[in-house]
Amino acid sequence: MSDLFPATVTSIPAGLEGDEAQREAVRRYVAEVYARPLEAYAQRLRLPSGEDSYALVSSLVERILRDPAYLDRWRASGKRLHQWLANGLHLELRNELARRMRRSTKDLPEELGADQSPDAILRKGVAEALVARAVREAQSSLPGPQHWEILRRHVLEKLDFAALGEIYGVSAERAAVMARTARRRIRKSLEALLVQEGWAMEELGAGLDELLGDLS
Amino acid sequence: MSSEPTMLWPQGGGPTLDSTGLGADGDAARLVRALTSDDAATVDHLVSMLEAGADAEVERVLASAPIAALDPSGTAAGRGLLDGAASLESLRAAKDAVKADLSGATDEVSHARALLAYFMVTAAALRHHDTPIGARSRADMAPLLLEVATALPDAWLHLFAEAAMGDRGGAGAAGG
Repeated sequence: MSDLFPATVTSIPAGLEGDEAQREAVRRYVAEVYARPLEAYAQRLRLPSGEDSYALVSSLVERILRDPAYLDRWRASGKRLHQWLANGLHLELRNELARRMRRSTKDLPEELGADQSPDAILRKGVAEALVARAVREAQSSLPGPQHWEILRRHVLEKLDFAALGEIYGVSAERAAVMARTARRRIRKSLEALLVQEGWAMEELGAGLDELLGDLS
Repeated sequence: MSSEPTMLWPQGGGPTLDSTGLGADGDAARLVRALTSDDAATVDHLVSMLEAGADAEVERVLASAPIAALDPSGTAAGRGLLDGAASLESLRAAKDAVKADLSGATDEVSHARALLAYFMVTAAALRHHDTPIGARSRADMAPLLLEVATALPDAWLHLFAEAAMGDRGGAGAAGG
């Protein structure tokens, strides 16, 4: 589990039902996991000159962290979290432009075009953030760095276990077991993160399929 | 939004794909495919079962009809697989019977036992006859055999490892 997430809280929706400490921890988790994907998305928007994607996302992150009801409104909306946050980003930009340019927000929509589906950009960003976090969490629970390296090189470089065993000074079957251990830990971490994101235990297979679709 | 952004979240903070060695496009998807592949799930289940009692599981599989048929006396099927006494023809017949068991398995335990039997006969064919008798090549079978090997009793560990390694040598050839 993420060290940001309270041990007693199993998911974002459950955390929002908890006490203020749990609700604050959920807000921090959402801010950390979603900030980078949101910035990647903001960078793909055709922002007016003078607008900075980092500043824009920081403004939204500040709202998430400082407004205790922000995520409650998301839950009430029925939208997926990434969609709600994307809308929030657009709202931040509209508000800022309206403030600066002293004109109505309804005059601005043509300035907000994106060259790629915001949904796809955000979903891919979030999926990548979850995979990176799952790998990092699994790494910290493995006996050493070799387990992950053997799995990574077996999957990405297509090196067989005999070759990897020679590289890392273990037998081929030991290399296979180390890769399997890493694989199982990462999958477990990823499943825990999906639960945090609100997936039900019995739907984790579908969650992993969706995550793979978002990455592809 | 203020003109000076509030630094509430650090640029560069938190794990990224780059920091985990998955920086190239498509790396994360390849990893997730490996995590969720049918092979991974099948091997994980078989290994979990073996970890709960490998000797008993091996005995049970050796007593199953397709494997017991390798030795008409009904007592030395295991030796036939381990020592190479079983002919390639008999291994092919056993493999066909085991495949029928695999397709007919109605629960995870039966499926895992049939899979272990399948691995035993295909490993024997690879090790003693240098011949893949299933749909997969030695290279395709090797990762599966190696992942299962260390959960097996020593004699079978060596058979599986040697089958996977081919002419590169068997268990222990690459060190501890």
